[in-house]
Amino acid sequence: MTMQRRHTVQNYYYFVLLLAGVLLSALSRRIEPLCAVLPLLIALLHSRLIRPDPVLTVHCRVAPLRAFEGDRISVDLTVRAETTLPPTELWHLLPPAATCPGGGNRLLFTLRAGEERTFQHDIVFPRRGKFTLGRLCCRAHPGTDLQPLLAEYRFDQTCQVYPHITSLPHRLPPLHTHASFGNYVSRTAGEGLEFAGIRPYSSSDRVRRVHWRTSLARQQLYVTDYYCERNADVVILVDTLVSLGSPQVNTLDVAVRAASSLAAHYLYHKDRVGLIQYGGVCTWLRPAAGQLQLYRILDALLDAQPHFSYLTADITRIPPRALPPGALIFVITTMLDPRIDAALRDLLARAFPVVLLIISPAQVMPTSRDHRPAEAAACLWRLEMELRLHEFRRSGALVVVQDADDPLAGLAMMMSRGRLWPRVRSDWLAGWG
Amino acid sequence: MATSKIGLACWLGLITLLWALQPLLFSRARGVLVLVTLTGGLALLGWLTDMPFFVVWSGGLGLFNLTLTLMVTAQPPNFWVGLSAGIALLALLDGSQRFAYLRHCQVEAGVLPVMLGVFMRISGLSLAAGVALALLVVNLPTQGSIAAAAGLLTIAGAGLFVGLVALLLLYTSRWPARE
Repeated sequence: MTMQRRHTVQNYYYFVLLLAGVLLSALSRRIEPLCAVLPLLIALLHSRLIRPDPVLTVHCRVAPLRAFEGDRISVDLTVRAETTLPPTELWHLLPPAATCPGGGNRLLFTLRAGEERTFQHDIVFPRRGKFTLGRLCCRAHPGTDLQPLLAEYRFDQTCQVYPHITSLPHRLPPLHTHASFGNYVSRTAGEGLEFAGIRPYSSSDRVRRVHWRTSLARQQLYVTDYYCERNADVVILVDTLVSLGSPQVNTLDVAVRAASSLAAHYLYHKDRVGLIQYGGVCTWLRPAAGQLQLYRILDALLDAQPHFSYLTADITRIPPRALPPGALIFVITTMLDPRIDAALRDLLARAFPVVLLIISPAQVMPTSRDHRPAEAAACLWRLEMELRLHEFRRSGALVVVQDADDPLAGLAMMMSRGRLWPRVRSDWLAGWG
Repeated sequence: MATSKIGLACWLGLITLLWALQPLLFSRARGVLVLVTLTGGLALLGWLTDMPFFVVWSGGLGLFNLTLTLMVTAQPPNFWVGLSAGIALLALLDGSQRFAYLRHCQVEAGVLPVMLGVFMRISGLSLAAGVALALLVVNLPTQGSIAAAAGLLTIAGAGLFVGLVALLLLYTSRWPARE
């Protein structure tokens, strides 16, 4: 790539000082001012008469292109010098959100002709999004640096930074399950992997299930019984009606982290997980199982942002495939927009088991030196929320108010105490799953 | 490579001191002291805050202060004083400009020697040019016909010199990077 020569403002400064020296020398009739500006003249002439043309090739490699918040993304910059390089600055322009904890994204180096070097630095993104990396600015400083050479290289590579996933120590068993491969074990015998018992052979049993050791001992055919495997449908509804806080720390990011953690958790346990983004524009993903579904959900959550609209998509318009009957629904919301209340009432009226995870806006508000007003506002918000939540609690929704940095801390704590779904858990243990 | 940055900062601090304190060799009058302080302060402010404008002001002020001190104290003409001040001025301007981007960069090995090499080359060329100028100036008064109009010739020569340099700079600035 051809490097373009630019004139720095330093040229004018040198010339002005040269002019000042000559004037002072002429007016004072002394030789010293002229001698004092002589090096500036030499520097100006040197930059004009000696013009090296450095030739270099640059390559940029970014890996991995998919990462999670806080993960390190490694960038390798390979520079090969065809000619001897003067001090050369290579600057990898980063998005404003990025930080560079390892190595430097702005390098100053020299290379001999034919030499090749690879410089590495790490990038960390503190919040989710799609970021373009690989834009490089090169600036060679030949000689006196009055005429630097500039070039721009574009190796655009889109890097997807997914929300951070927090692992949950416990699992909330869903109210309804259905026969499929999964981690829930039914009390009824059927197809599965968990050993249930041994019983005498009947005519419809498969031969492969014959328990030969018992059959030989008893001189009669016995077969092994297994427990049925079941899994559940889980739907995560993220309220994107409103987001509070700064672009760096806001309630929507906390909600998105909670949603991705829940999705990863339930998908790991072989449940089918779906996603609904409920806002001015309502989008959904049908429940499915597997690693691919996790990436579908994470990709959908990458673009989650509040779309302001006076209209709200009606929850009844969401197709039944996206909201299957009996699905366990996690609603992650700030409850700041009253339009979410209608959706919640609708879901509860349709007898969905609903877990309401409320993200407190007090955590994302900027903190001032005096904590008392913030604490008072948080208390008021909590009191007002208790009043509003009373109705949903009575309708059977489980409510978790999240007011810590960790988006799922409150939920995990309640799960570990066994206070969540007490009736369901007892039913489950009794074999009603 | 924090060492290189600290080294360059120390070098720049030393040059700032040298540039600002030079007039004190000839006079310690209160006015000179004030100008010395201003010169040093402006230079320090300029390269610490990445604002070359202040460094240039320091250069201009220092030049004025030096000339004024030499005139007031009626020192005999001395090329070495001028040349040493000039090299200090170049080091200050060049160093502050390089420090502006070097402080933000991860500096690899071998960069500072190259920069120092360029500076040494310019200083050597300046010394050679200064000696040539000195020889010319020493021989000029021996030419009787020129000596009569020395004042006028000096001013005209200075104007012509500056004009020629400006033209050269303008012309060479339009050269493309690569033909």
